[in-house]
Amino acid sequence: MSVVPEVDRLAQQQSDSYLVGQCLQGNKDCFRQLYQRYQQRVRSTLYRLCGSSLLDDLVQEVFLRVWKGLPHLRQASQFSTWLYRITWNVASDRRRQLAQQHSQDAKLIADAAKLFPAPDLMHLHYQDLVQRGLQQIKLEHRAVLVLHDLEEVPQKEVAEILGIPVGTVKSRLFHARAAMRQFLEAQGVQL
Amino acid sequence: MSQPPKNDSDRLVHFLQQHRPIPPSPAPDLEQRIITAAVASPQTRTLTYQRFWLIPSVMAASLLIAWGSISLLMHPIPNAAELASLEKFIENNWDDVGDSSEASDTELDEFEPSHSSN
Repeated sequence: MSVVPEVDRLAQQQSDSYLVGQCLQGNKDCFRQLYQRYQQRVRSTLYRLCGSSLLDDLVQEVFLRVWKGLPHLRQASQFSTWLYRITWNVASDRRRQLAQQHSQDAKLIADAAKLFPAPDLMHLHYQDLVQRGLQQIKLEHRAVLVLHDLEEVPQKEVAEILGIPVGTVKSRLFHARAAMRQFLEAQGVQL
Repeated sequence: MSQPPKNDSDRLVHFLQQHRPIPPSPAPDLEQRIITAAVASPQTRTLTYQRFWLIPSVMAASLLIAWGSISLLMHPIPNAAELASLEKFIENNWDDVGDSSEASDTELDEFEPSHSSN
């Protein structure tokens, strides 16, 4: 009888709090569980905030900060909020470094978009448009749009992640949506 | 099946969610790279240092309690007997002041210039 798969199965069902506690004791398998549980969300958020440039490095930076900062986490039950906050911090730190890269990526994507004339590729084309639209919005506004509208994080939690009042979240969301709508309509999208 | 969006905002959000940008796949060894790098990095434990923040709080609370106790001890509330005694003392003093005031007036009259010149 194998014990390891059973342990893995149980770990799969463990709460974030339990996994955080195990990580604090140096359990790397539990850290792997946390990584596997959240890496897709972190990756998607970083991609939508910063684009594809250095994406693997940014993901690695987030999870290294998580590992090092776990002893600072006061409420393990709020791990996901804390993780999003670290993700946001990493994205902010790289903002200046990626600013020029953004314009280059946007040009590449624009060129690539012209290669999607077939109707069955419209979905991919719209994905590219959304990504391009996101990159044209101010980072603070983009973060609210990504977290609330794409990641479907509640406004109160978005406020905690970004360290701003809920009223500011609403205001930024309004402006971000307006900017995104304007961009999409300029690209010929009928909403 | 999801309901159709009702207004402009809902339509926009619906469109964004339908066409969420998908990030490129990670490098095959990314997970192992992260785990290896993490395990090699020491976790910064600050729990011990956080407890030092208790010291100023405890000192402030102790000083507050001490100040409150001293204030209470320095200003005892007099009982009814002490108040009565105090009231009597003030009355007596007031009477004495009144008497001495009258005496002073008499004494002053004796030294008025009109009396001394005649």
